Amino acid sequence: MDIDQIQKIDNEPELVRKAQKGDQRAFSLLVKKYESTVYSFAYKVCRNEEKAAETLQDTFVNVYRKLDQFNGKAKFSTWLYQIVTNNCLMKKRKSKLDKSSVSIESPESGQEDLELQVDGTPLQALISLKQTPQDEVVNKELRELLDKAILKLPIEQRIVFILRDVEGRSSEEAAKILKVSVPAVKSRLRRARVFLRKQLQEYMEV
Amino acid sequence: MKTKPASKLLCNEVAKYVCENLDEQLNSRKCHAIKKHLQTCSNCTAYLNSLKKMITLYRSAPTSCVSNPARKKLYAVLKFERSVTRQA
Repeated sequence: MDIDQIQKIDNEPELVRKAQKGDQRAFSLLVKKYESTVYSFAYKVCRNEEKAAETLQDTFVNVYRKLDQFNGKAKFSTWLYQIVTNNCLMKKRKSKLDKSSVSIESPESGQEDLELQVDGTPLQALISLKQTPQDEVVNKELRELLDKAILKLPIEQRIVFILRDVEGRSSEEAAKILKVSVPAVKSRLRRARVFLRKQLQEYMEV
Repeated sequence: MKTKPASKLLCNEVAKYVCENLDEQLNSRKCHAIKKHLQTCSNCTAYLNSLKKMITLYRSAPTSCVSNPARKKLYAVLKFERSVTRQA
């Protein structure tokens, strides 16, 4: 079965039920269907291929061990995101790399407000990113800046930003995945957006 | 002349609101008020656009795909997991 056929599996609940009953082929199909999703999400969170591959393994081992705990009330993908998100959080906590996050100004309310009050024309300039042909190098630098900036975000804000703005999940689903309230998701998202936007300022034309 | 405090407050509110609710399908009274404000406030509109631009950049940033070695390792780990489960 190729990847297109796997993606077209429309009776996912049935596939999950079969896998829960010990059907190894059904489980393999679930792995094949979601391996890219899990890896891609993990990579976006940690920006490191090795760590993303480790998270991929840990996630599916957990899925295999806990599959009987999935009750089918939520979507399978939501449950899967809960597992991969937990793995990302655990990996981050274990690695003690949060040092860089501690010193980062966490954009509390007021920070963005001050900016709006003092900025007049510069805000207008923010919408015009440098886009001339010779700016390929600048774009590469910009991507590196994006990577660096997102890694500076506290992991909880980073995950919310990726779920909501990069993966396109709703606030409600992000709240289910993270087991927090929708206002908590929105608060983290606001801080992440404000912080990341500020990080791009040097690449804006004034 | 200094900016009116009321206007400051509204711009601040708008900044907070768009940061929390950008990309949400909202139809509340406050949402309408924010949209109305955005129609007349170039400052807040620019702020909103810069947020959108930043998000677009992140969405379009290249990601990584599962490599064959990583996939093989995953399948090997799962095979081992199955064998352990069977033995238990």
